[in-house]
Amino acid sequence: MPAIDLEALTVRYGEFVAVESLTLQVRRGELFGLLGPNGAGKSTTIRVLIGQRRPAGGRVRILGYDLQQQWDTIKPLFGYMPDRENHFDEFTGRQNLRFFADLYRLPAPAARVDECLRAVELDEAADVKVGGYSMGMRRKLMLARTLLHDPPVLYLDEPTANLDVHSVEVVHRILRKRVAAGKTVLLTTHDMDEVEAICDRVGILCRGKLIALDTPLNLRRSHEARLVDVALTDGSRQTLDLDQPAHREALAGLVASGQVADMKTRHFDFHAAFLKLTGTEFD
Amino acid sequence: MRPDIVYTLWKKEARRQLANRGGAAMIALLIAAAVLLGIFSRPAVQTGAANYLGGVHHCFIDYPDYQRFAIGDDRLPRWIAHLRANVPPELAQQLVFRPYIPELLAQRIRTEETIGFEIGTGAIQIMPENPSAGVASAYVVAFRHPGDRTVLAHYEAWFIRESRRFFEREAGLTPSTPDGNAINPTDDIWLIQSAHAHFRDRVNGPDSSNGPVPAIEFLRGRVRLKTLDSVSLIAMAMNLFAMFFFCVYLMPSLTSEERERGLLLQQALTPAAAGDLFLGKLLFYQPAAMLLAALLTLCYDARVLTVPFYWYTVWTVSMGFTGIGVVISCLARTQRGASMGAMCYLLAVSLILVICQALNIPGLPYLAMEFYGPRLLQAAISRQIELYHWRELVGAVLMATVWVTTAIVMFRRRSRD
Repeated sequence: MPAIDLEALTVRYGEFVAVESLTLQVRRGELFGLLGPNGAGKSTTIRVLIGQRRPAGGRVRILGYDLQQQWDTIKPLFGYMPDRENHFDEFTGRQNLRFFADLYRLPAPAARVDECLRAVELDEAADVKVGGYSMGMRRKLMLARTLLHDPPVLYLDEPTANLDVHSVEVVHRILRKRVAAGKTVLLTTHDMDEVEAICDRVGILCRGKLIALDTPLNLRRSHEARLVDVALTDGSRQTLDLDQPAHREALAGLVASGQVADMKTRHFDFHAAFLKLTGTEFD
Repeated sequence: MRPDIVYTLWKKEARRQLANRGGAAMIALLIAAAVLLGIFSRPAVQTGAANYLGGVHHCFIDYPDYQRFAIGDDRLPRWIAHLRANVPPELAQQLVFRPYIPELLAQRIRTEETIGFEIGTGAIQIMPENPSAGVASAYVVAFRHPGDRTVLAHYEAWFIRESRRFFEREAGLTPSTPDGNAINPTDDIWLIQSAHAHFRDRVNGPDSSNGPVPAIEFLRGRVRLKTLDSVSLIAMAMNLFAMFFFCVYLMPSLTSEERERGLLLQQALTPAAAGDLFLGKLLFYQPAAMLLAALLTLCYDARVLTVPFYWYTVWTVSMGFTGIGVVISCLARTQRGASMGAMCYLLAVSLILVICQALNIPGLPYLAMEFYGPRLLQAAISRQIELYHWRELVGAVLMATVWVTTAIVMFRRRSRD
């Protein structure tokens, strides 16, 4: 049974169709990345999953429970981290977490709060008011809040935005650890490197429709452009496409004539792949 | 409702308020003002209502309730009926006929006590001299003005004119025309008295005591508007402001901030239900508003706190205000919108009440908590509680119930957004 099961999900804002017949299954113990430009329907899908938007059609099941019928059962089963930070600025980091721990009626709230603060490396700043936190610290505190009740499903909206490299690694490590423990993570991101680094599968949404669904590796393989940037001895530069016979012959000629000063193959260009898939610039 | 969750939410509200320096400063200022008021206030100085409002907006015709109590003869009902039937159109909104318990009315006429006069009201009180007698041969008529007797002149003139026409009709004479033969009501009361005696002698003939025109003793005096001393007015205003500040300004402002930043949603995604969130707020802001109001009253005059009516009033008004506050916070999408909403609400309601009073629009003011709040608080703080205040308290409870119910419905709906 999938952790998240969307079946022909349709969401409308008046006449505008934000999500159209989206069918998607996220497996248990999977880290799933949802990608797409602004207005693609990612946030709307998440809003449906957290019960903030009623679908116009289709069915949503979380861990086998129907979202519409069994909302109260589903509520404690997921954690949600929004894209905008939202804390009580006048409280310390510890007080913020303690408040939510009490709302979740955790059996040993103080210990769990300490554990979560340690996990996101905020234990030293735990008793500082959140008003004095940096953006990165605030986002890590949000992640800690999301983990408090150890939910089997996590919805994370751009969890690593505004984080430094080390903090990004901390977040990735936490997410991988959870997935290894059989928990499910659904995250939205704009960062293809992040998707490649941690996601098991990726879904690409565009104009409310799912246009690609695969592992990051397969996505790279199927959409990677085999381009070579060549720097010539006279200082000029050329970009050659290895999929085109004429370009291959030109490259061979340049190498044979000794005109090549430097040559390098391009990395996977998500933006180009996205453009190829959707005909739209990734926003 | 889960008490532990509600308690957690209550603690959160309390902590947020303790950390709110602006709110704390405002509370400190109010307390300082109340202390000043308590220390330097003089014994209540009565001020004529006419000085505040420049006239009377209502004149009560108080008469013994002959339908419920056996009193006098059948002349009194006919007299009252005649007066009712001959109210001129320009006074139709101002004249209010008010039946009263005979003993209480008689006692109050004699002791010059009022029956419950509000700002800008006066009365003409009619009472048989001997209520238990089968035939009322004499009456007492008291004109009660709110400080300036001239403001009641128009009403007195109408009363004397119509009473005279009634007695003329009783005697089988052709009643004088409405505008004719009237006594100038601004004259001294003894002139009215002697003019009536002359009229009575003329109509009744030699045996004056058995004729159709009864002897009438006319009295004139000001209504006792003890409630209008300026110090208790300030105390009342501070009480009202304290509750408005907590329930209609602070609460919507902070609730809308939580909504705007997604914090309310984050709380709603925990096991806390919409009802828990609502109760957490209600159980903090309403008692806090009551506490602040009581603290201000304690600084002003601690004796008021021993009056149960004060507590009923403060509870009702703060409950109503909390309902209004929640409704505003449900309608406002942002913190700024909530602050604007609170201000606009206050201005709009104040304007409506002023317009209703100026144009004598009936009914509408009874739908506003702000109509009841000042009246009830003023009565409680000045400890001048009359029967009609209890009726108004019932009205206030009804309005508070309407607001809280609306708030619950809207809060539940908005918690799904």
